[in-house]
Amino acid sequence: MTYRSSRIWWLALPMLTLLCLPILGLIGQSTPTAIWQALASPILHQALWLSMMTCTATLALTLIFGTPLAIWLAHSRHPWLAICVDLPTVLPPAVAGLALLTVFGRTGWSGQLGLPLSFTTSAVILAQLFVAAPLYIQATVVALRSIDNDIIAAAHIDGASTAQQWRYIIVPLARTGMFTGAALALARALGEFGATALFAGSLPGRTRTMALAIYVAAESDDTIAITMSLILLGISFLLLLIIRRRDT
Amino acid sequence: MHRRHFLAFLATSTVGSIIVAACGTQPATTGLNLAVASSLKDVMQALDAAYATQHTTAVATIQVAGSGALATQLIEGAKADLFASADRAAMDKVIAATLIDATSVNVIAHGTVVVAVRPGAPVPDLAALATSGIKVVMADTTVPAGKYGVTLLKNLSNTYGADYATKVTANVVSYETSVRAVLQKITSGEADAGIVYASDVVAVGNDTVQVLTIPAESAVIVEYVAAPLKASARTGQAFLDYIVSDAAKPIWAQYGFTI
Repeated sequence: MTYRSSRIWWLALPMLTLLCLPILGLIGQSTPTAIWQALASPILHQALWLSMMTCTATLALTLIFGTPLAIWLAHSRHPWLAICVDLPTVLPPAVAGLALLTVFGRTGWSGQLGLPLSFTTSAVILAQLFVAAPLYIQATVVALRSIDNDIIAAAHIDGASTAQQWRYIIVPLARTGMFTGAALALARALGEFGATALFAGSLPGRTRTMALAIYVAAESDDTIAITMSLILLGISFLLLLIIRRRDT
Repeated sequence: MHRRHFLAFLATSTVGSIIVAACGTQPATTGLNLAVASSLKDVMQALDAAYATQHTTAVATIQVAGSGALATQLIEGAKADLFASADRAAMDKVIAATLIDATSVNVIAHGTVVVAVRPGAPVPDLAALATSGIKVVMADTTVPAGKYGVTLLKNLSNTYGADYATKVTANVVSYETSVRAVLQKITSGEADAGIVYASDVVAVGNDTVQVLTIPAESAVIVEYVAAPLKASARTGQAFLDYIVSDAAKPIWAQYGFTI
């Protein structure tokens, strides 16, 4: 390191405090007995199960349909295309929800064709896909672009087929980046709230995911809301931990 | 700028912004500070505007949230001169925290619960709510509007048959956390009908939704209560007296409430 960082700690402290203290506060608000009681609550089971199902579907669809797009973007010279793909990640959640309604709502295009998706579990998955998939795509594009073309060219000269190039060079080199992107997308899907609330609604067992259930529970029962928050926090922590371990 | 100077600047501005943020918890205006349930937001603004012109006081700062959320905020230390709630339960929470004197609670207005219908939806009357395939939206029972909705369906079952409430509940596609969110689902065209406060329909404009009024024998009446906070430096009592006076009646009526 060329610059000295030893004395910066006192300037780093305010931000560190701001980022960590609310999380600690959440943990401090709960007691083991309260967590134990909340864990037995059917509200939690229903929401957790729905979140796991929808996030699994979102992850699978992200990998299946996101990968080809990422490969295409990695070779494309159009910055506009990349911006369009990035846009959903920075949109305010309400905007994402309204945008999805214009296409998949009752009055939207798919609704006109007699297939409105609003208020369905598919809507939850679409909302998650819309905001989370770009994270995987971005990471994959970066990973693919960072591969030295000379290696692939050398393999080609040595007679490696396209399939072999992917199998033995591109995928192994890009794997870490792709994995990180997938985990980030999964974490984002798990926390998706705004677009789901607007586009999919909030019905227990069908569209009320963990994030929505926490919001509803916070209106009346703080204990369950905090316990559900802690569970979500724990899962997100694990996901980020996996990403860290992969990176180093 | 030298690095040392830059660091000093950074430190000063950080401390400065923390001080500003700390001061920000107290509103700078001399008007009242009202903590108001979401459903009372518009009418309270109108009442305050009228009050301010009559009494040449500054307009109030109005904090708006769900009644339960406001109660929590007040208990956690938020400052207000007057708390107006859409249900007794939230008010009782604040009374239990000894921030409000139980004897100072006033009923300030009454509201009614109605069924809002998307124009063009196949819901000509209340009976049609039970038709299979109709998309109904309600407030969640964790908020007052949801509890009133459940009561309403139970009341209507006396007229439309014992299984009416069950059938309508089976048609519910979403339980929202506020009446405004219920209305949004209808005005956006996604849902066919929803159970809302009459006053909220006035707020979003009558032309965007149709209203099915509830027959008197099944009507659910909502009681809105308000009380000044004990710790308030400026008393909210004068304003409270005004909003329950005859002078305020037309304003309440204009926004869909009765006193």
